[in-house]
Order: sequence, then structure tokens, then C-alpha cells
Amino acid sequence: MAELLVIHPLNRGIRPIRLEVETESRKITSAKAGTTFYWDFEKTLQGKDPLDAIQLTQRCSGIDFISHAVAAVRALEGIAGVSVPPNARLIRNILLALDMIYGNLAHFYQNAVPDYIPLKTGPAVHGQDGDFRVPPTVAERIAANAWQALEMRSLIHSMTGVVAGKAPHICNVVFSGITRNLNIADILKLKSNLGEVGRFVFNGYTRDLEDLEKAYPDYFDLGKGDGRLLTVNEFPANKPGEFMIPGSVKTGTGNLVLDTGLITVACAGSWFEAADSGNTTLAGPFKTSPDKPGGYSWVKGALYDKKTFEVGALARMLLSGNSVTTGMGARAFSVMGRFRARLEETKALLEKISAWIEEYEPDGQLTAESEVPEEGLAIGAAEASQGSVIHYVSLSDGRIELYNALDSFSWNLCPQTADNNRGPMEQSLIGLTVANPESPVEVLRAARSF
Amino acid sequence: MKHLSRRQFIKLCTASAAALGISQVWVPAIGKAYQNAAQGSPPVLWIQGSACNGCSSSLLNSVHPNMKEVLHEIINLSYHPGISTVTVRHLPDYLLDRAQQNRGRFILVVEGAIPTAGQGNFHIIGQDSQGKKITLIELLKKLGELTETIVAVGSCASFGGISAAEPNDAECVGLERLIEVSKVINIPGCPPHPDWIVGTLAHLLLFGRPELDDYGRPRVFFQGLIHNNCPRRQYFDNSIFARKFGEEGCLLQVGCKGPLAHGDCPTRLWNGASSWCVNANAPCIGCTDPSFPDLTMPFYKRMPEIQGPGITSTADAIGIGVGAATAAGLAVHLAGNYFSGRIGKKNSREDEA
Repeated sequence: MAELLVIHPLNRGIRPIRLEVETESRKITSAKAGTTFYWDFEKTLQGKDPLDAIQLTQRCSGIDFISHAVAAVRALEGIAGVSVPPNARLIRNILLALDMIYGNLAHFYQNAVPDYIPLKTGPAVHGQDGDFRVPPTVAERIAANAWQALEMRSLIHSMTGVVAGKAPHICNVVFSGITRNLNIADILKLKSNLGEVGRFVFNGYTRDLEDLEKAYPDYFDLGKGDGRLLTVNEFPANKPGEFMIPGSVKTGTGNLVLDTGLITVACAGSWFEAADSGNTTLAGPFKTSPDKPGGYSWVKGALYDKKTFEVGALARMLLSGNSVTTGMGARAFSVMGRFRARLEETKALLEKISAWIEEYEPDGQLTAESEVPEEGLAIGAAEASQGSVIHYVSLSDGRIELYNALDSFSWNLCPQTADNNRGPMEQSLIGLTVANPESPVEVLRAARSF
Repeated sequence: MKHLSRRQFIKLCTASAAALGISQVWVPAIGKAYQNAAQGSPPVLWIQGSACNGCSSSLLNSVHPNMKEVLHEIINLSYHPGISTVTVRHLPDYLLDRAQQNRGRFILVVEGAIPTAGQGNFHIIGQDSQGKKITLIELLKKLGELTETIVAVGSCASFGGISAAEPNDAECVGLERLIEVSKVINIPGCPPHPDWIVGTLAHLLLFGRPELDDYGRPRVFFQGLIHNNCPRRQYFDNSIFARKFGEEGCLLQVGCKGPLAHGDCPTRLWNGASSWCVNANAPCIGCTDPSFPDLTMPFYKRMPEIQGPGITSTADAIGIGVGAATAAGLAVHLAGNYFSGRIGKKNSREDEA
């Protein structure tokens, strides 16, 4: 007989999630993953000054805000056809990398670790009564590092503050460039703090993940997802057209260059619907429909070439050819594989930030000479710790006509599509065996691996 | 320090002492106070409404004291959606149970605005033990009745903020539109500075309610106008204005809303005293103001010269010594408050809504 299991809210992530799974003989046969609160800026941005999008859309996420600022500004720069000066490119790279490292630490220690290490117990809770396999002394060390990770996050935001004024929600990224150059004191502070974060990552984070990998080898085989991956161009290099993370997609048949023109919006399982029935373009517009039959999520789904795709560190590391991550083979598509990809990315980015600081010219130009055009449309994209951010903007008479901001939730929590496709998180749950429905740790761990 | 008086505490909270951390003194002093308290400190229940949760990220950036000290020695954080490690099965029941057990004593912290459209179904916070979906507004009203102290963290929870920006499809409101205004303390900001949050909670725990301004904000953090304490004030007074980013000068022409926003950012600085918006050559976007963001947009354009009603009716110190250029900002400020119905007596903000 089918049994229904609901986890609502699934906490600790960047937004609360509602999970609903159906099990037959303890095996999950269907799954729904969505959000149950409306959070969308499409309507708010219509008619606004285009530059306001750079600030407003940062409020899509209190963790991945930098990628939204950058995606917004790239969309406007795309319309104007302007290239930003070298210092602006470097500063944005540094900020995005800091944001990813921050997000990766937050994900591992705040979101994931409490499902493996008994940090605290409480009444009537899911996933706190078993399957803790790490020896007590190691668990104690990981618990101490979870506190240390909070300090590291604060330290990373203080670096973001040095570069960008403050964090969360930065103010130095503007149309055609940045507002301020780093001085020598700033650079020294960044280098010193990077060293501290690096010591934590190479000693604490690395050992902690290794110990989880040893204790939970079966989680290299659980939580596969849909096997398709997507990244957008990120971390532009000095040479135009070159990126540390090239925008690409991994489909069943191979890797292809990303064409943002193939991105559409999927609303079947969502409480949004196209204002013009059947319109799935990024432009929309979309309207809210909280009583819509079949709706179960406030996420606007994103499809590429009509299919669902997983985004995030795993996609970035596999598609950019990170050797440790690709070396895992098929096991990379798993709970532990996602953790490993985040760690490898964090280590790679720490090195990159140092290199970008070396490239930096303290007196370089801040902005290119350019104006935001009165008319036009463009897609702006950026990578966030959680995954690809896509902004669509069209301008008319110098104001925003239509705007849509999609992020990792649109991809990884894409609600059920019109032709019954399911997003990566839902697919990662289907097929799992829930040993103890009173404490469905398998479900929690798979869902929190994204 | 054996005994920390309220006066000393307030002094420690001010930005001139902030370089030392919100309290060189208070970690040991307050920590001891709590260890000595037989009952422990009142539990804090933190719930999130419609928000980006950047306020919580900001709280975690608390430096002096750091988050471990905050949680171990200062605040008894009974539930927080991001920080609590437990995954509660029936969250609404769990929170109501905690609230009942600590009736009249617990502190409710709300981050994010409250959507009121569609009987509240734009925000369902969880399900109860009967399997019923509970809306945020329903839970909040119940929790609100069980306590005397509700802290609205961030501009969304305080005044609606970005959640309530036009056209506000979900009909989001700040807490003071739903709950008896006398219970609510507003800590606006998008996000608020961690010192504002930790400092206010500490004041509540040690000395009771802090002194509030007309918008329900703790005066100790919000009494100063950004513009009046801005390190670039001299440029303004000498009419030297930056026309583009990176130029020397006052940032009014590139959109600065410092002349209407209150807060101690220029002296407290952000992220462990690293910087703040104007230090980054970027304009203040007015994020602590009740009119944020509808009337502080466009963020990167000079404030429009809106004809506002009754400039003389301002109660605080904005008007003292402002130049002609800020009069426009003042008008925006007053117009915003006028249109949102906040000018008038302040003991019944709900009635004016």
C-alpha cells in the first residue's frame, strides 16, 4: 500500500522547501519538491528604472545575492553591447568566487552536516535518531568545525565588505563596471583573510568531508538526480570569450555549448501560469495562480531544450573538467559527489582569487563609457554557489518592460512539467528506500545535497 | 565588570564604541548574568516570512560577539529556520507549544513580510499534526497573542520593504499592520546590521524594551540621519558633487538617499568595520526608511523634487541645518510617510493603515 510522507518545511537551506514522497514497501515511487511561499520580482520590476534591478534582484537570495547583481548588470550591459574594464571583471570574479566559497561552506556545515553528526537533539524531529556512523571523537571535531565555519562565513563577508561596501547585498557593482578600486590596505586584508579561510578549508573542511565519505560510502550511490547538467559562462578570463567555467550542458549524449536561447519556463506544477496561455518564453509575463489544479510550488521552473537540468557545483566541476570530480565517474552523481564537487570548487576558487588579486591594477579604470539603452532585450547569466542564475530583461522607453529572474531553484526544483518530467531534486528522491519512515534520513540527505 | 548598567550598555551600543565590538564588556558580563539566572533567559522563536533571508545571513556576521558567543551566552535561540539543526515534523505545533510553555515571556522574532492576499495562501509555513496546511499569517496571529515582545528584523518585517514594493501582488505588510503596535520593535535595514539585531535583543533581555523612535526603531541605533554623519558631508556643504562613480564628492547626484535614511552606518561600518555603502563610492539606497524601496527608487538617480505636505511637521532632527538640496529629500520622506499613513500619533499605527 502506498504511504505518503510529508516534510514541511525542510529547513536549513537557503529557502524552506516542502517535500512530499510516496512510498511502496518503503521505496519512494513519486516525489514532489517545491516552495510554499511566493517570492518573485517580475511584477515589481516592470516599469522601474533598469538600474534598480541590480539592487532589487539581489534580494532574491540572502546567500547568493552577488550572482543576482551580476546577472542583472550583465543583462543591461548585453543590451548596450559594452565590455567592462579589466578591474571590473576581476572585482566581479573575486566577489562571485567569495560568494561561492561562502555558499559552499554554508551548505556543507549548516545544511548538510547536521544530518550526519548529532549536533543537537530535540522533540519530534526528523532524522535525529540514528544512522550516525562517525566515531565520537571525529564527530566532536566536525561539530567544532561547524562553529568555526560560521566564523569563516563572517570573515568571507568581511572580505566582500572590503570589496563591495557591505554584505549581504552589495553596492559596488554598477552598470558598465564598479564604483571603487581596491587600495593596498584592502589587498593586504584580503590576502590575510584568504589565508585564514584557506587553512580552514584545507585542514578542517577537507578532513571533515573525507571522514563523512569514509563513513557513508553508500551515499555515493544515492541521490542521483537526472544526470543532465548545465552551467553558464562564469569567471571571464582576460582573453575575451574564455571562461573558467564555460557555459555548457551535459545531456545523455555528450557535452554541448550552452545556447541561452533554448531556455524556457515550465509552470505546469507551479502556482504561476503564463499570462498568454502556452507561452513558455523567458520573457513571460507570468501571473500568480495559487488555486491552480496541479500546482504545488511557487518555483517558476526552468527547462533547457525542453528538458530539466541540474545546476550547481557538481555541474560546474564536471563540465569544466575538474580532475577529482570527473575521476569519480558515475558516482559523482550522488549525495557525496555533490559534497565533493563543492569542496574541490572551494579549493580551486581560493587559488583563483589569489591570481585575480595579482592581476589587479590598483589605479585601473572603474567603468566603461556607456549608457543604458532606451530599448532592447537581453539575457544575463551568472553562477551562484547553488547554481546558475538567469535574468531576462526587456526595456522600453528607458524603463523595464518585462523581467524574469530564475535561479538554482528553477532548475533543481523545477516543478513537474506539462509532459510529466521531474526536476533533479525530485528525481534524486525517487527510488530511495526509506528504512525508517519515522526518521527518513535518506530523504533529508538527498534533498539537502543540492 | 560586576554590574552593567543600562546607561553603560547604551553607551557600549553606540557606534563610537563599536570599533571595540558591540561590547568588549558584555560577553563576560552578560554571559555571567545568564549563568547566574536560575531560569535562564527567555527563549527566542525566530520565524521567516516573505524574505530573501539575508537578515539571517547578516545576523551570522556578528563579530563582537561572534555567533557562537551570541548563541551560547546571550540569546536562548529556541528555534531558527536556518540555524536550528533539528528538522521539526510539525513546525506550527512545535512553535505554538514552545510559545504556550513560555507564555508572555518568550521573544518572537519575525524576519520577512507577511502576505495577506488570498487568505494568506501566498505563504504556507508548514503543516500541523492533523496534516492541515498552516499559513504564516495564521501562525503569526496565534504566536503574537502569546507574547508581549515581537521584534521585526529587517525592512520587510518592519514596514513591508521590498516584499511590499508596488504592485505588491501578495499584499505583503509589515508586522505593525497585523499586531498590536505596542508589542512591536522594528529593526529595519535591507538587511539590518548584526549589531542592531544582537544589541536590541540584548537590551530586551537585560533591561526590557529599548527606547523607540516614531517608527518603532531603537533610538540607540537609528536616531542619527545618515547624511548628518556622512564622512562626505563636507562635500555636500561645499557643493562638491560626484557626477559619476569614483569621483570625489557627495553622492547626492548619483542617487544617495542618505538625506532621508536613519542609521549609524557611517560610524558603525559593516562586516567587522570593513566598509559601508558610501565608502564603496556607492549611494545609500535608504534601506532603513519606511519608504524603502518604493520612494527610494530609482536608487541611482537623484531624489526627485516631490512636493510633500507639511515639511514643518517633522518630529525628529532631519530638518536641522539641511541645505536646499536635502529639502527635496525631506519632501520625499514626508510624502512617503504621508501616503503610507504614518504621520500622526504613533500609538495606533495599525488604525492608520
